[in-house]
Amino acid sequence: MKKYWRIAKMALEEHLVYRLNIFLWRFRNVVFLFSLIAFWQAVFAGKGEIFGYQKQQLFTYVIGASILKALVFSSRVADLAGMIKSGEVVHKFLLKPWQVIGVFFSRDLAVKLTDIFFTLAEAFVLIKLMRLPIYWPEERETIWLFSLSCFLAIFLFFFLSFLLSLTAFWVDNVWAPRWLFGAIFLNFFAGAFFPLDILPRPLFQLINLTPFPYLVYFPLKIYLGQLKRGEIYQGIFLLSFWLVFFVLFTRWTWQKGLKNYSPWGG
Amino acid sequence: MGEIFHLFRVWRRVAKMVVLPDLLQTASGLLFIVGKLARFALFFFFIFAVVQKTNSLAGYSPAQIILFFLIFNLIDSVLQFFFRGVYYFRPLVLLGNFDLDLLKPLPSFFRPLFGHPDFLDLVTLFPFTGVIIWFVCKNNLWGGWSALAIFFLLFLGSLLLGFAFHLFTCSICLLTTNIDHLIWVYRDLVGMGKFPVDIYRGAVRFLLTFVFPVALLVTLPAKGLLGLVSWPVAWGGLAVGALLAFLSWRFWHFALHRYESGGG
Repeated sequence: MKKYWRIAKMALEEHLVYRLNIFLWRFRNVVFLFSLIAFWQAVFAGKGEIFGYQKQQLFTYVIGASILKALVFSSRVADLAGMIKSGEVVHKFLLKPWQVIGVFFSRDLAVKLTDIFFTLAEAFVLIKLMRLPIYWPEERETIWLFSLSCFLAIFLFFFLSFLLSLTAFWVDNVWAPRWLFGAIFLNFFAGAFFPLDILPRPLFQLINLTPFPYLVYFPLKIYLGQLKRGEIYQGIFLLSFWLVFFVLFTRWTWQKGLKNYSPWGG
Repeated sequence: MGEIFHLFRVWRRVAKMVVLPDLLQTASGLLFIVGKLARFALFFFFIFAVVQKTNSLAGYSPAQIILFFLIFNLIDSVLQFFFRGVYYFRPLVLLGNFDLDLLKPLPSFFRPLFGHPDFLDLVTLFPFTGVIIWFVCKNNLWGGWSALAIFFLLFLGSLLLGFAFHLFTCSICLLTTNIDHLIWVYRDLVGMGKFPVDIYRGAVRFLLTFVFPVALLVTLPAKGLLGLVSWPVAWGGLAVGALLAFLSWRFWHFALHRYESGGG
């Protein structure tokens, strides 16, 4: 356990070393969040409710999605694909006394910690500056169920992303599928841009058949108190199902990939 | 004029060389195109769903709001097609390969800006243009031939602005060897032009109009097509684009004089 703690600490230091990059990266985040809020402010001008969301609920969704993106999507697992391609995976993982999943999860935790810190600070400033109404759930059980769904979503994303990196064992260009994964599945199908239930019904139902809505949309719907108890338990069951499926599938793919693997010189 | 034709011929040759490796990776290229079109479609659904619920947004009708989004996609894709080379500039500087380009009988900014046109963006331009024509005709947004001429004038201004922004980014790269996040900051700021800048309030609208002119880059051409821009304003827009391109070119030379080359 100690070695994973050390890895997380090193990842944190590495993450914070290029300050100009950090500043520009956070600036991008603020620009994105700000433009989304400005858009919704224009939409809500003179209206109390839209798509079944009150103003307070929708702004909470936008801010909440930004925070959940930092919590769930912040990750360094994408590096694994490059390591597989370059052969680094052999001397960095296979010949060392640690588990590749443990190493990457430790690194992810460090990245998530910094991202959450910055995102919370930015969200706080934007809430105050733009005077955004924020929804706070009244029931303690809602908070617990929301936290549980976030916890499971972190692991679901980790294994999804890990699995995608493992395609590097078989294909030359991992950049294209990863771009598709980030640009389409994470931003749109997960509900990171907007609540999915504002989309046309058939499209919404189709997206619901995938694991992606459980990463952002589902936890936020719990938080906003827009799901019945039965729907929440059903959702958590499906989220757990997807998680178990991807854990097993990832382990199987890793084993298969190693058998297929021949790095330079191999 | 002859020099411009010569540069165009060189660019065409470079473009041919760039497209060949892309054609070898058909699966990846296909994934990118599908992704770009899917992103466009999902955004379209989203904006369509939102504007259907609101009768107007910042004084614009739902159809006009969608047109702003369509024009944004068109301009963004054209700029990406021409100036994608900027994304490949940092390795050129870090490895010292840019020094070799400086020895060639071409303008110093030619390779950084035009050295890697993105044909995947060119492919997406056709459906985008088709959707715009269909949408304008279907919703009676046609502002007449004069509006179309104004649109093209402002479109030219957008290209000059795009040139200015990308060259400025390359200049910063020469001075700091840092470009990756900066170019994405530019993309995010331009992304605010998915909607007319009129939806933003006070200081932000001022910044997007006069400091980082997203309004000139995206909003104004769309307004031109809708027949909401007069000729003097259109010429003014073009003049601002030309002025910023000139200033950016001067800054590029300033950066070039301070560039220490690969071994510096």
